[in-house]
Amino acid sequence: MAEAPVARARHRILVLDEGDQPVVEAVVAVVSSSVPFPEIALLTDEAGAVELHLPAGVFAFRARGPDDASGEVEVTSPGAVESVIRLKRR
Amino acid sequence: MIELKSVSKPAPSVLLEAVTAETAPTRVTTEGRTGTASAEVSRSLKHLAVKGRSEPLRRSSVAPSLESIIGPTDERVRILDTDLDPWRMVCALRLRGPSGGGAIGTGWFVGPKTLLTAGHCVYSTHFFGGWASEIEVSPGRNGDEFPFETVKSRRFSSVDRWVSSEDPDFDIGCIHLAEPLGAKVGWFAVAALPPAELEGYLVNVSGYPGDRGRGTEQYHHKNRVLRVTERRVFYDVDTFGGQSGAPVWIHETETAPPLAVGIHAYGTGGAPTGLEANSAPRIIPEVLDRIREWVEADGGWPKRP
Repeated sequence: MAEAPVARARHRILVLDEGDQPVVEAVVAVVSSSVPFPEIALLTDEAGAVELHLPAGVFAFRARGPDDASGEVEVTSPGAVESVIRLKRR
Repeated sequence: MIELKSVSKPAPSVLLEAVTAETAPTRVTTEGRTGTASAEVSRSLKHLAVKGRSEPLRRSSVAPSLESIIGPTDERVRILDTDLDPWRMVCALRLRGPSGGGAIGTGWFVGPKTLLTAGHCVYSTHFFGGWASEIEVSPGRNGDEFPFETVKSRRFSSVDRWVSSEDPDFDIGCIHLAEPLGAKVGWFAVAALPPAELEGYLVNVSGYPGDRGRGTEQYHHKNRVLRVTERRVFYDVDTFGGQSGAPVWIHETETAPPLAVGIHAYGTGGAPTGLEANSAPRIIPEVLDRIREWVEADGGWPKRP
């Protein structure tokens, strides 16, 4: 018998540059997680955001902008509905 | 033995008949082809790809900074001769969901018009709220160079166990093309090997990560199979988000062609306790049956002359 889908919480990640402007087409991916999480990479939309539905767990997301600036954020799900990654050049 | 049914994205695609898995032999394979494009031998294949069985090539000794980069250093190597076999069978994917959100993934040919990828690249409630809308397929993409045509598809399939519960053991997807691009670039042979046979093999994983080249450059890494479970294969091969759907393949001997045995899908999150490894759903006989069904639905494999 098939298992029921795991309950998930909607979460939005906003990617901003050093001037607090949204970064379009930034790559966002999970770099560590407490539960299995697919190795897909998301691209931010015109508002500089990606939206996903997370199972319960702790996730570290890394974002990288077109200019290679990067940043990370840790997200606990369920929890806040939005988090922000501010990109910094190395 | 499990019963695994094909599930296709609803119209405009044709729904595939559900097929009950038959009793399978212990080792079953499909046949690969190198394609009609250049027959030049890839230097990357000669020097980077691993073949046969071995002890582990290296061991993790320092806590990694990234989940799926295992060990003290990131050992992925960029493939530059992506116009050659087998790298050209590996495709950069641009995924689009119904909301227009985009994502990066990897796919690979298993037939003239059929690619395999991770189930979550075609169907995901995490990312798309269901089926992907459209996927752009670029075989052997090499940065700004496209050695072959880029084509788009809106016809996808997966298996019922993925669509109903998104169980990582069944994270398997299929992209159906209208164009026989695989005839040019070739396609992988696929094998359902018994766990005891798979253990000890060196595996290759090559795909399009988001952290290097933003999903436009192909990166390869290799190591030994660490563990094989009923439905998954675990390995300490470095990967990153965007390589989901990449082929996990072996070469049975130094001169044998590539033989795909899994579909890369996960980093170390969720690996068995005490095991730091990335993983793929294995090609099991029931999955191989579905792959055959998908290729046949796309017109089948051509007979050898």
